[in-house]
Amino acid sequence: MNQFNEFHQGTGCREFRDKLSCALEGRPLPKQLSSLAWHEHLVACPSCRLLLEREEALEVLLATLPEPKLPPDLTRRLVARLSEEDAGSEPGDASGVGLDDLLDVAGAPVPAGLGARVRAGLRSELALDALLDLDSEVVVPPGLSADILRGLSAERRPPVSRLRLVRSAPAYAAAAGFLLAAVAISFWSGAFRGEEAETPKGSTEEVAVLQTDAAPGEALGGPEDSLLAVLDLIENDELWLDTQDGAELAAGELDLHLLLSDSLEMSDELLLTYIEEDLDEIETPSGG
Amino acid sequence: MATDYTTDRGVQLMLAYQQGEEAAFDQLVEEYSGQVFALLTRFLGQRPGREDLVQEVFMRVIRSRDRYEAKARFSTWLYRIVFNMAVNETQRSSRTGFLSLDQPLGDDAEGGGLIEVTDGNVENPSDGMERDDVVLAVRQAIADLPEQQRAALILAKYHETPYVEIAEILGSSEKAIKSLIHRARETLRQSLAPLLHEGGMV
Repeated sequence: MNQFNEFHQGTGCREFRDKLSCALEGRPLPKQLSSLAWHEHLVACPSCRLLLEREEALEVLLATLPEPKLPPDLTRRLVARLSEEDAGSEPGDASGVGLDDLLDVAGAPVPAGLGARVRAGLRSELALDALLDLDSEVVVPPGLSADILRGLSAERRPPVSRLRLVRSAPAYAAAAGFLLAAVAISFWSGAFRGEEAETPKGSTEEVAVLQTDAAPGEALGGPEDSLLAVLDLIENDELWLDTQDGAELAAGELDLHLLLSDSLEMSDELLLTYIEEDLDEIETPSGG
Repeated sequence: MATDYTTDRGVQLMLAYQQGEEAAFDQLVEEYSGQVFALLTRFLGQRPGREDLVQEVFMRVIRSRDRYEAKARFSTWLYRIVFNMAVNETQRSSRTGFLSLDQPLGDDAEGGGLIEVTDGNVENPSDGMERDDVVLAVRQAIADLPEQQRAALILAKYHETPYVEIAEILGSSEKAIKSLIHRARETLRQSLAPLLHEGGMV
């Protein structure tokens, strides 16, 4: 594959262009490519000369020069010199190495006019850059970052994830336990009073049956399911014991809170409100 | 061989933010919002609402907080967000009838877009071409470039982004970027030819 295929190809062109590709892409040049070979091909091949001029010609040529011949600040001086010429001053050798000298590498013949065309190509690059540089500044509105931060303040409020809510506030978690217990107990002592003494342990199904018995008009699902889950838990004495002892809720029970708030479609805020209300209630029991 | 990007200032800030340091995000906005604004301005033109887009960019930074990984310089990662959003924005604009950069902007009623260089000036650009007119002509020429060329040229020329990073931002190869920029410059040389010859620059 070659990026220069649009140009006519003659003998040796492929090799030349592959190497030019290497040079342009900053890959190491194959060893067999001497600067002499470059120039020999260039002399013979007008198509490749055209191509070279279109590319970053000067850089490529400079890259092929034997190292010792290159003064360290060559490129800078060259550009400076070309700029001087642009500015209308007389070209002179005093300011540095002449472009024609540069092109005349190792005695290789250089096509007539190549230097001038390379120079023109380079100038055209510089001119384009100069033109683009005219628009170098974008005016950023003052106070932009402050505005952005202000605009993002709502987004940045730490997410009140349910898990984090419970974890970060063990008191709320415990309170949630009390709430659930209270709800469940009132349920129990009201609707299931008759069954209380002998409720068999474990089966959610059995509780579900009881519940449908007690409230025949209501379909099961959503909140009911959650309450059943609570009942189930109480039956197994887990929630009850934990909340009685005031102990921190176990991980399994955290899931229960999540389940409850999810199936009731409670928002975090609402859940929080319930928990808070219930805390108040627990602190000042109303004798029920 | 994985490059270590943790010496990059932006990466350090982003990682600190990821660890919960809120002030690091403030610092990111402080240091990068100007660049993001400039990039959007160059890419989309002087259209209104660019500040909102900058905000949107940083919104995405916030949302990427948990899954961010330091796989590139921070600016590379950030510019990729900017570029994706800018492309979405141009598509949205063209759908909703707002000015699109892929169309001539001369009849932009908002007056905030790029101003058309009048036909009268083309024939003899040195007549009455003030510096501002030249700047507008340059912007218009850049705006007329195809999207990818425009993005590559802007990043290379005005944000001094290395080719390899432009390739990452635009999801392309370094070689393709080189070619894009070459073609972009070629097109600019042609469209700006009257200005290149004017003012003795050639």
